[in-house]
Order: sequence, then structure tokens, then C-alpha cells
Amino acid sequence: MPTASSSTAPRGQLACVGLGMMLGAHLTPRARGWLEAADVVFVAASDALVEQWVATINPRVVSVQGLYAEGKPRQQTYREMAAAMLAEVRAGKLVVGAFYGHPGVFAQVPHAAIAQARSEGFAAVMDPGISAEDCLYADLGLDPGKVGCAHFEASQLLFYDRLIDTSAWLVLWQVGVAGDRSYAVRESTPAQRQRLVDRLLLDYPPAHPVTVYEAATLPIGQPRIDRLPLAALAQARLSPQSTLVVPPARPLAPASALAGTGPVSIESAVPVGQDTAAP
Amino acid sequence: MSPLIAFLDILGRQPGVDIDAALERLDLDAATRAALRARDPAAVTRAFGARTEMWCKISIPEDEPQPAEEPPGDAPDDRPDDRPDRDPDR
Repeated sequence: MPTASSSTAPRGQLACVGLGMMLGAHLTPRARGWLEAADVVFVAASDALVEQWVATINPRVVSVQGLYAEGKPRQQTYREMAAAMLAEVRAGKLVVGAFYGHPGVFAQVPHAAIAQARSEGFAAVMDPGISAEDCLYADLGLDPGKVGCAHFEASQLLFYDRLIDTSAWLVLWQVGVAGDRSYAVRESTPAQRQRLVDRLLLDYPPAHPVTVYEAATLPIGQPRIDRLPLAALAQARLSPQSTLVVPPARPLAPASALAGTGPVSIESAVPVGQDTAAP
Repeated sequence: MSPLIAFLDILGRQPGVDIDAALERLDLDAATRAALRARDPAAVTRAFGARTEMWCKISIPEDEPQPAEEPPGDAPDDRPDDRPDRDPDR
């Protein structure tokens, strides 16, 4: 725990910001402000050129890539990342964790580091960034408001009982590592991916069209949008950045339980005039 | 800032830039120039000499198993006292 500081002593602070997905395109002015002001920036980018670009904004950059290793559990890597950031905060520095996409989406280190910093009495904030999900809606022309859109971590469909609503879009994240429980590899095996396909085949036909999506990270590149039948997914080229997008398999059906009951109050979520709440 | 990173930064902020025309004015090596003309991100990264494989943040989809709690010192030891009847080495 930090000791009580005098008014002149430097006070550590932590800000976790999003870099967005594309170099130069998605950084918010506020995130740039944090990066410029930082005493040290821990950068977690998915593209080496993005890492180089962050170093042009603030040369006091530490890449977290060196903390990863093939065969090393990610849990350990993540603990080391958070510990490295916290050590600098305790040393009185303004520390910025710069994470590609959104720092709070599919990113455990920023949440853990911020919680730890706050528990020790330090100021800690998270500033959002443009995530892969945001890019996905734009690149695929998908509006989640139309029929709904459910997001799952892909492995959780294998490890847990999850219900899929096939009248909504289904987006599965981390599909490239689906089924791997070592958390120490870059990609899962075709056999592990086949288990995911088998799980999806419980709800969708084999020929159901799905899309493998990857957001572009450089402004000269294009997003990856590969369409294929569900049954072919296990043999598809997948990477840790791959996301699977599954369109609805059936139209929205009228709610039979509420049919003919008239308008429904959104606030009470019960048919108007049938509110049984105590007076 | 390297000319390549500066160029990509501009492209990121100004999507209407004519890449091929802008390349004529840049001091870039032949490999980088060719990779940019081909709009090939992997080739650009290789030409820059940066690592092409990056580790991504992967969210762990299940909780880590918690270490088993040590029984308190005065707790009864429920492990069997008897050694195996047979020596496993025999």
C-alpha cells in the first residue's frame, strides 16, 4: 500500500485507453492526451506498426509483447502486465495502458489493474476506444438494433450451457482459440474448432452461411470478410483476431404469451392495466 | 518519426488521400513502396522490419481454479495412516 504522500510528492495515476483498431484513424483526442502526458506507456497493440506509431506519440513506451511466450499461460502473462503497470503507479508515475480496440472489451488486464490501483488509493480511469465490434457493424452493414445481436466468447459455448436465439445475429469472439484450455497457444486445433462447429450445428443447418471477420489495422488494408458454410469452419484459416458472425436462421416470431393483450408498458414490462403492484 | 509511420498516420486521418500520388513524394525504400502500392499490410510490416506475429489480448473464458485451502492446524487428519500393503517397487 502507498504511504501518505506530502503535497509535493508525485502521486501515481493510471489511465487505460483504447487505441482503436486502425493506425491513425481511431484514436480519440482524449486518449491522445493521456498518451502525450504519460510518464510511461504500456502498449498492447495487435499490429507491430501500431506499436511503432504509439512510440511517435510518446517515446516512453514499453511493449507488453515480451511478456507473452508460446506455452506460457496467459493468466501469468496478464498478472505480470498488471504488476508492471502497478509498480510504476506506486513509483508515483502517470501510467497509461494503451490497448488496441477498447480497453475494457475482451481485455482483463485493464479492468484488473484499475481495480487494484483504486484499491490502493490511486486515481485510475478507463477511456473507451473504437472496438472490433464497432468496426464489424460498419464493415458488415449490420445493425444490432434490427433483430438483436448476441455476443459470446466462443469457448464458452463449449465449456458452459449457453442458449442461442437463432432469430438474432450471433457473434462469436476469439473463435481462433476456441476450445483451447491451456491459454498458452496462439491458435486452437482443427479438432477443437470442430467441437465448436458441432455445437453450432445443434442450432443451425450445416449449410448456414457464416462470416469470418477481422478488422483492418492499417489504413492501406481491408477488413477480412470471408463467407463460408458453417460446416466448413473447422478447416478455415483462423487467427486470434478472427470473429465469427452468424446471421439469423429464422424470422422473429410474435410473442405468443402476449398475443392479444394489447399495448405493453415498457416501464412495468407488464400489459397496461394489468399491473398487480400493491397500491 | 519514420516516413512510413508518418504516412500511415496521415492515411488514417485523411482517408481521401491518393496513395499512389503521395508515394511519389515520399522517401521510402523500394520494398516498402511496392508493399504500399500493393496495399499489402503484411508486406509493409515485413519491409519495415517489424515483427509480423503479435500476441493478442485474449479474454480467458473461465475462472482460474482456486488453490485448495489448507486445513487448520488442529483439524483432524483424514488421510489414511496405513502404508500400502505392497511395496510398489516390488
